[in-house]
Amino acid sequence: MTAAAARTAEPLDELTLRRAQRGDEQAWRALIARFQHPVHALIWRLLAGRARHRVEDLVQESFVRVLRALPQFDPAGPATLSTWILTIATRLALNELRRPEASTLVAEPLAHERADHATERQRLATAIAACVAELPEPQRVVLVLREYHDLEYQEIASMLDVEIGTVKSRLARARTALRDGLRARIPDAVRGLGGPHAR
Amino acid sequence: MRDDRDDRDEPDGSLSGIDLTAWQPPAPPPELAARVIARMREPAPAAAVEPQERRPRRWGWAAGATASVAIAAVVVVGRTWGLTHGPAPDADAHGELVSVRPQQLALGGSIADLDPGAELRWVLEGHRISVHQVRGTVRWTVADEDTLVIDTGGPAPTRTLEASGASLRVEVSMNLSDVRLVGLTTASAAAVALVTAVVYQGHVRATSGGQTVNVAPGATVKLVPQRPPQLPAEPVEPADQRPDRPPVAVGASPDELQQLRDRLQAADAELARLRAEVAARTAQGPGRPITIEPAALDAARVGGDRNIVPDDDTRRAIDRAGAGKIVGSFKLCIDTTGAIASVTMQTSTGFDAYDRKIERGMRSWTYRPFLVDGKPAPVCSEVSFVYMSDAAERRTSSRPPRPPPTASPPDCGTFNVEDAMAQAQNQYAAGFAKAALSLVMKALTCKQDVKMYRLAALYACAAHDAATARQVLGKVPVPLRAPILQRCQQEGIDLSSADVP
Repeated sequence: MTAAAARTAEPLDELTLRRAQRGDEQAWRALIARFQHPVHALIWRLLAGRARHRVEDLVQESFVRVLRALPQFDPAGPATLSTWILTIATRLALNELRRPEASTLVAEPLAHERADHATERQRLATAIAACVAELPEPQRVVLVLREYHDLEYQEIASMLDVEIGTVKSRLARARTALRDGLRARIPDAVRGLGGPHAR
Repeated sequence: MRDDRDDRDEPDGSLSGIDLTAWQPPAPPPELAARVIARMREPAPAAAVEPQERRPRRWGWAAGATASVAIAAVVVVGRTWGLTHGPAPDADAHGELVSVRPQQLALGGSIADLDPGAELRWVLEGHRISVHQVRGTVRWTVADEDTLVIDTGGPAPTRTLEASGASLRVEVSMNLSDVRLVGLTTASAAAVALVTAVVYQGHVRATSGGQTVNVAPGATVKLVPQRPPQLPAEPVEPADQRPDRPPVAVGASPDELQQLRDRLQAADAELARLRAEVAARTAQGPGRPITIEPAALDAARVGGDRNIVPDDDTRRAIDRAGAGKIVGSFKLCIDTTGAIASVTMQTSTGFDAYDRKIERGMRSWTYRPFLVDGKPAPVCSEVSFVYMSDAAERRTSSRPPRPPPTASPPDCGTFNVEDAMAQAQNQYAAGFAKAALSLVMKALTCKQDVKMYRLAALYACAAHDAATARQVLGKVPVPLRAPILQRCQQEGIDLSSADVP
C-alpha cells in the first residue's frame, strides 16, 4: 500500500480509537488493520537486508507497545495517531539496527527479486533496496520516513529527536547517495538523471 | 502527513525521475492482529512505555535470606557464574553464557537473542542444539535444519520446548507465590522455574507434567512444574458447563482454598451478568443508530452538493424579512449500506420552501458505509445550514465541514489561525480531509498566504472537492502548482490548467 493509498483508506474514527484505548479487542483489531500496512512497510524498509522474521517480530512488538501505550495517547496532542504509531515502530527498528549483527544472518531475498522474470521495475526495486541497505542508519531512516511515509520535517525531527536542519542535511545526503548508487547499478534505468534539480 | 513541498526549502539531491514506489514491501503476515492480541493477553512484565533503550531487568526475588538461598540455588550445579562481557557470535560445541546486555549468539544455523541477565548453557551436536535456559528471556530463531531442545531444569518430569524452523521467545522466571502453590520448600523451589514461551513462527512442542502439546504461531504456553502445558489463550469454559472441581492448589491451606473458591464464584457471577447484558442489547435488535460527530459523518460522504441555497423567491422573502442570518438544523441518519435512512428537521430555517429544499438536497447525498469497530453501522448526526442574507455572492454553508469564506466568517480578532491550521493538519492526517478543508477555509478568511492556499488545495483534492480545489489553486503561483496537480491526480481529480484561474 502506498502512502497515498494509506491516507485515503478508511480512517480510524474517533469512536473506535476511544474503544481501543479502553481495551476493546474489536477496536484493537480495527486499529491494527488500519495501520498494519504502513507499520510493516516502514519496518521492512528500515531493516532492508535483515532476515524477514525479524521484521515480523518487530511489527508484532510495535503493535503490542502501541496498544499498551494507547490509553496515554492524546488525540489532541502534538502528534497524530499515525505519526505516533510510526514513531514507536521507527524506534524499535532503530534499536534493532543498532544491535550487533550476527555473521550468520543472511539477507532475505527481496520481495520482487525473480531472476527468471526480471522486469525493469523489479530491477529498479532490487537496486533501490540494495542502495537503501547500504545507507548509514541516520540517512536511511530519514529517507524512508520522508519518501515513503510523507512525513513532514518537523515530524521526522521530533521522531528522531534531532533538529530540522539535521533532517534536511541527512535527507540530502541520502538522496545523493541513492541517486549515485542507482546510477551505478542500473545506468540505463536512470539515464538522464543530471545533477540535483527541483522535483 | 507532510504538506506540499516548498521547493525553495527542499534539500538538495533530487530523486526526480526515479520511481521509488517500485520498491514495495510484501503484505503483512496473516493473522497479525490475532498474534498481537495473544501477546497482549500475556501478563505485561512492566508498564507500557514508548520504545527506549532496554532497561536492565530487575529480579523480583524476595528480600533477605530466602532470596540469597534462591539465587544461589538457581545455580543448579553449584558453581558461581562469572559475567561475560563480550558476545560469542560463533558458539563452540558447548558453553555457557550470562549476558549483561543484549547479546546475540549463533548456535549452528540458529540464533539466540539474549536479554540482559539471561543465562544459557548449551551443547551442539550436529544439528541438535540442547540448551539449558537457566533464567531470563531469550528470543530464539531456529533454522529449518536445526532442532532446538530447551530444558528449563527443575525436578522430574522435565519440562522442555522443542522447535525446528521456528521463531519463539522463552522467558524463564521465578514466581514465589506459585512456589507456594506448588507446595515445594523454598530451597527446592529455587531450582524450579516458571517458563513462558511465545511462538511467533513455526510450530513448537511443549512438554510438561508428562504431557506434550503442539504450540501454534501466535500462541503462548506456560510450563509450570508438575502440570501439563498451559495455553492461556484457550477459550474459557462457560460457567454452566464447567465441572465442579476444586481449584488446583497443591499444598495450599484451607483458607487459601476458600479464597480461591470465593474468587471463582465472584468471577462466575460477573461473567453471567455480562452475558445477560450482551443478550439484552442483542435483543433490542441490530442497527440501533449511533450518534456521531458531524465531521466524522461528513468524512464518509462521497457525493452530493452540500451547498443548498434558497431559491430566488425564498431569497427575496428572506431579504424582505430582514433576516441577516438564518439557521436550520437537520438530523441525518444512514444505514449500514451508507444509504440515507432518514432526514429529520430539528430546527426550521423559518422558511418552509427552504426547509423542503434542504431536505430534498440532503436525501440526494451519498455516503459510503460508516465503520464502527471495523463493521458497517447505522449512524446519525446533525447537519446545520447557515445562510447569510446579502445581495453579494453568498452561499449557504453546512456545518461541517467547510463554509466558504463569505459565509459565517470567524471573528478574526479572536480566531487563532495557527491553531486552526494545526487542527487541520491533525484532521487530515487522521483521514478527515473534509474537516481539514473546513478549518483551512475558515483560517483563510483571516489570513492568506501561499502555504495555506496550497494546503487548502491539497485537502480539497483529498476531500474530492474539485470546485474548491480549483478555486484555491488559483491563488497558488503557477511554478508551485505541479506537485498539487500531481497529488490531485492521485486522488482522482484532474485539474487542467485551463480550469484553474
